[in-house]
Amino acid sequence: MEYEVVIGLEVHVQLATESKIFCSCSTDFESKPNTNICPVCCGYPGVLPVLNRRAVELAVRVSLALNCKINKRVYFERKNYFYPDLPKNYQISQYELPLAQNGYIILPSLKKIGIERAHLEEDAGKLVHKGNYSLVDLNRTGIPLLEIVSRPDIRSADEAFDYLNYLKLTIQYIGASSCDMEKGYLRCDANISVRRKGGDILGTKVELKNMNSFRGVRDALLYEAKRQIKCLDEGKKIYQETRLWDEKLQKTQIMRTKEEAHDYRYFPEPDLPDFVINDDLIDKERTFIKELPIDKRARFIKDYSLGGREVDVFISNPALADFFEKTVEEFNQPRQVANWILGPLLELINSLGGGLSKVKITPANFSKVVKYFTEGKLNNLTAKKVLSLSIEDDRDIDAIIKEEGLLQVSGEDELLSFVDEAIKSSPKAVEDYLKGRGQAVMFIVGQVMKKTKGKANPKVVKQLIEGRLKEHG
Amino acid sequence: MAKDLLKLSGLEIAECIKNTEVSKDEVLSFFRKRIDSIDPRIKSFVEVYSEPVKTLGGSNLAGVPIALKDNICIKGKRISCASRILSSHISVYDATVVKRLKEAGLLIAGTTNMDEFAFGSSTESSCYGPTRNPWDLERVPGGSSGGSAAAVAMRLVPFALGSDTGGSIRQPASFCGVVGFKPTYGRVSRYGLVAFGSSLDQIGPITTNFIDCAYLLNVICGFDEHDSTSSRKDTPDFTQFLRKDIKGLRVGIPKEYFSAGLDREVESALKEAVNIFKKQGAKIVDVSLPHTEYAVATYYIIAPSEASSNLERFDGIRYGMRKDASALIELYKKTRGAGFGDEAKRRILIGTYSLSSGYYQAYYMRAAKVRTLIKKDFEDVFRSVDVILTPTSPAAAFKIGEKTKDPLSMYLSDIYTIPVNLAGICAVSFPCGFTRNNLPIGAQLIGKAFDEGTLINAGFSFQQETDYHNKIPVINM
Repeated sequence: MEYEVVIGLEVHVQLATESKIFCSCSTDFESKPNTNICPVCCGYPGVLPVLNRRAVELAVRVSLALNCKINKRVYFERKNYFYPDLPKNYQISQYELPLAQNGYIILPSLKKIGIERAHLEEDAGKLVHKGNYSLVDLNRTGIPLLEIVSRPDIRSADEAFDYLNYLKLTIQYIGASSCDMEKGYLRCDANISVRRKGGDILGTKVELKNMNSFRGVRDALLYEAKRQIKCLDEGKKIYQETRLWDEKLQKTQIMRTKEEAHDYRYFPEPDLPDFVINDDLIDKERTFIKELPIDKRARFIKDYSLGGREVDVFISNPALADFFEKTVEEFNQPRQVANWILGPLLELINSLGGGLSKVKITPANFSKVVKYFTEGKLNNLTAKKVLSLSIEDDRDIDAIIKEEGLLQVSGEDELLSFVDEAIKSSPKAVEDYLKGRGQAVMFIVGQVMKKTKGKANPKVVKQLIEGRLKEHG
Repeated sequence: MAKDLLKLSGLEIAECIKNTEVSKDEVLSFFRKRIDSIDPRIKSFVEVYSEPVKTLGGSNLAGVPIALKDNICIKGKRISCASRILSSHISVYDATVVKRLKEAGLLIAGTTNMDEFAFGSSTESSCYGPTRNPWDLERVPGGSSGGSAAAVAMRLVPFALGSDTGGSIRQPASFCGVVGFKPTYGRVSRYGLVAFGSSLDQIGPITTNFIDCAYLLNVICGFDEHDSTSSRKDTPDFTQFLRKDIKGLRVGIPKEYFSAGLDREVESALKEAVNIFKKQGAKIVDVSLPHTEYAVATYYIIAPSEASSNLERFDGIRYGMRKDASALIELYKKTRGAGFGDEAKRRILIGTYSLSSGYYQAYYMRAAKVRTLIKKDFEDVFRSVDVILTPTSPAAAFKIGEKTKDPLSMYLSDIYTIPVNLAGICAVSFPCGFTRNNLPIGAQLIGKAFDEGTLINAGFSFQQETDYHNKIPVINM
């Protein structure tokens, strides 16, 4: 029987505010445990929350980028449950009326994934388990989170991966969060069910937790889809439950059943009056939304005739994409520019370490490398050398070429004496070539390159050698 | 000298200090001696500080001692809310009112007894045992701010702060024969007041007279950036309302507050009060607040719902009492089981039930709607009157133990005060007579939101004509 997988994702994104959502503590949760805390975020008797306006602004920005309808009256509710990482034993969250609803995001496949809701809430702290006791770190408590819930529109683990990627990129592009999942700036739970293909009734859903990377989400969904299909094939029932992904064992395991689910006793937070989002706030946040990744992707493919994979590198790395576009402005050969950025430049960056921040060469200066190479003034070797000499301090390319005498030698007159000398000193290669092993010519080319310290134009050299050898033949 | 201080108001004491007729230390030691000799009989204080809390400034009340209900945070001092679960907790910060008192140069002398977490109307649910009514030691002082009211009535301190969620300032003020003011919701910052019913709670002064009341309100009222529910409305100088002129003041008498259940003696004292206002030129208007009968039921859904959530933080993890256990849930159960008293547990259960899925619509949501109707009742009536005059409580102070077995009858002693909190408006209780057994009777004036001034004006006028507020209980030592 053919099955269809139905997936919805719940993503928590840590909004990039300086201070926490209800107090003025720093959001730097990686400091020494319990250093960025105060009576308010520790839930001391008598404290009251005060809403950080910035958190609302960033939440609005994300919601706009996700094409959501913004509910202008923001109010909070208390979600009550006991856990030691939750100092008040209730989380200030939104329930009945989320900040934003009914949005969508478009994937590179052009499929639209619906966004059901996005709401603001405070983060809990962290428990560190130590044998027979546990320690509580409240640095993270009260950091603003935006919970973004997708509609069950996702149909495969790969599609879930794409959704997460484009959600992350979208939020990164507008500067609302770093979305670094490894550090916990982004967290993802998944709801998954399977049904007979073409059916319109949803199967029993299972909630998956404890995935620590996009790949983990994908693997967990793949595993769980298989498990559920196997269950159905064997005529077994699927139970509504929450399961934990075990990264080491690469399988999901039951955490709690539906009957064990909490009753959160939501009710309106009496300590916070309504916050009204006015049009000025919305207009201002809209100005931070420039080109979104999905639009940039389409434009790169259309305007620069680049392949999907090449474009994806640029989309995931907006700074690199900017560098690309600025270089193309200087030297309008996008194919060549892309080759040089995705090839030699990235290679150099990787060998340097520290990412694009280490790169000091300007697009204008860099464009000369690509230009001179394309025009034949530099060959592959010398172009790379010049680039490596300029990358960290933006030394002028022309100056380097002049000082190092690296201009490519393409003049036949200049090269002929080198060619003749190389032929003379490589009798074995000449013999092989004449016997019909065409490849042997490259040895002689190599000799010329060595003699000219790499400056010779290898194409011209090759033609000259072949000409001379033909004369011999 | 000692005798003089007893008869002086807080403001007069401050003036004496300013005029160097008496020193701050003399004032302190006078009240300290009174506390030491009398309070063992009344038990109004939870803690008396050997040195008062350091002040940071001055005002026209500078140097006067004040006592605070034990649910207001004072940095470095014990706060217990009269509950075992917090008994060892030291506040790590100052409540906003405490900051304001310090800046005004008032000397915080100690903390007063209360019903556990302010749950009650008699101060009997305190983990320290009951406070006694100074007018009759066999009777309760009212609650939950019973310690503050009893201490002020007995002049152990010139004035005190209490908190009022459903009448917890006014009802004990009425039982003890003092002035207890509940300001409009949002007038006084709640930051640092341990929350009971967050949408109802308000800190207010308990004084012997309206002059001190106005001066103390000047100190504690005003916007606070730490409390999002505090109002940005300008705070008037309340002392400008200390005028005797109430000619033309329209006083509403709601029939629902003078019906079955009202004690005869209280009723006749109120009638006398009406006559005094009339004599002073007020216009008496019969009015109706038709949803009054639903107020207690509404309150006992909303207040416990909020309380059940507010009390979740007392779990033994970060502060307060902890009962060790081998597993987390067991730790919660043991700590909260041993830490909370019966009334706290009862209210946590009621609140948890009201908020549970399947019951939320029928209870909490319904109560929230009725609350809106009660609020509207007042808005309607305040179109035709300036203030509303009612009894504060249906009867004078009851006997210790009389109502502890019957929570419903205890709850009904707040029947006239509760609607004010639900509506978020202001009200004050002041003495308007005594029963045959020499127990004080309190009258309540209810005002429009942010119209505390008119209440002060009316109350001050009343006290110019009457002497009830100058009576001091006598305790046979």
